Amino acid sequence: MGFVETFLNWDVFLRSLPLLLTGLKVTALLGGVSIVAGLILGLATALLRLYGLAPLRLLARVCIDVLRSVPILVLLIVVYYALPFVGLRLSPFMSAAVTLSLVSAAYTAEIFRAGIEAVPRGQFEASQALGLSFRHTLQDVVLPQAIRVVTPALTNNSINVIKDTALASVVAMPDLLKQATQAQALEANPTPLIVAALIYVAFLWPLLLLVGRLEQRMATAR
Amino acid sequence: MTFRHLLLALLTACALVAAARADELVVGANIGNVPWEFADRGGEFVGFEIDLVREAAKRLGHSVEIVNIPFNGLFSAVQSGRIDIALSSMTITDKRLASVAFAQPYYDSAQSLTVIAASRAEGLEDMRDAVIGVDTGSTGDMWTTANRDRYGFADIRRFEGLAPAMLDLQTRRIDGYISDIPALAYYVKDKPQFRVIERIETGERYSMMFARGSRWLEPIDAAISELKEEGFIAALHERWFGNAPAANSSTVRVLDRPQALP
Repeated sequence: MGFVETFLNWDVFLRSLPLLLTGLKVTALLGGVSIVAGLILGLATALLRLYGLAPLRLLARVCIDVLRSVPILVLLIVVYYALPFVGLRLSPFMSAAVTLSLVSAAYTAEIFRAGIEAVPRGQFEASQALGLSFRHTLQDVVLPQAIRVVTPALTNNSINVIKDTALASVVAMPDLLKQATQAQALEANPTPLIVAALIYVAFLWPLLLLVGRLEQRMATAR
Repeated sequence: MTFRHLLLALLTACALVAAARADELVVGANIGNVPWEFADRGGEFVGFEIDLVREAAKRLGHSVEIVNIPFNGLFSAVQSGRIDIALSSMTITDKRLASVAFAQPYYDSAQSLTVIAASRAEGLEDMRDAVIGVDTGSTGDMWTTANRDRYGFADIRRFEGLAPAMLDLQTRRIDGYISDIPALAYYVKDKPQFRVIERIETGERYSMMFARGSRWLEPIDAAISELKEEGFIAALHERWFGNAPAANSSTVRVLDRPQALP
């Protein structure tokens, strides 16, 4: 059998495409939920880490460091297979979403912290001189500037979250990779895997271009 | 050592590796698929198909190197030439024959439904609104997908093999597991927390999988014929399943190699 017939088989492609598209839907949903939850949780953790009470600051820091040092796959398997033994049984989707959100939140928290620390000291002092409350200082002065600085980094992190959704296929989640391996076994042909790779690229390339554009805009704005 | 020496040493090493490979059959096996191919307590690969492929290769004067590849990876591993033979109690299907080749079958099989011992279910009819686990892309997956509406299964979860599925059965994430009957019968033998409650006839037969046009296909197939005539495969059946195979089963009778549909 030739290369094209084996790896780029048109008939297999047509037959497996519907299956792959249902997988893409699951991947997109899981990625979306994890990114949004990770952003919210990450911002909260960053603020806690910077401005919380001393014990909370320490706790936030430990959480961030632990989550950044555990391989995602290990964390996912712990959440999925170990938690049921202490009475917490999450569905495959919930397990994957919780894992990805936690890890994304840890990275997002560090990105936000870097952004907030990059805002010049004078901005804080000026806000104080104007009599702004702490909440308004953050909300109206610091965060808008910080978020602008870290948007490319956040977008990069989001791309990584979407790529990491492929790990969810180990906990019986019908995501894009899982559907591709299923179609591959049904057809005894690796074409669906190649198609899945192309779908990932088609899905993520626009996001990569967006990062480039954002970085460029920031460079000219400076 | 100069760069040229290094390059020369590297080339020699490559040539040596290639020479070592020439008379060695690389066999990919879905380790953990009891009792066909699995690791014993010492980490040694053992099982019905491991014994069979070792003996068949010995008859041809070749040694065997076993590599552990999960079920789903076996197809591309065979097609890309990474391995010469794939073992995973693999069912011969027309769809698979369109892309790969099989030796003659050596085991007649069926599917099975497994539940936890505490379950009240007594058969497929009791699995309405149940969540069923299967192995991704296996014949059990195909049967369950085709019969989903007939039995009213709520959902089908797809696993990468027996072990993770049984974990989810134990934690009740799934209500039943549909997979090859010999593997499950063997697996639950010493595990009273599970029971196999139904045999599902599918008329499937197992064999070794090769790339199409593989130079190993014919010699290995001939060796299997020889081993059937000598009663070697029937003895393997006794050893791994504890009983003799039926007289007219594919474990005993010499059969033709399955051919792809025109």
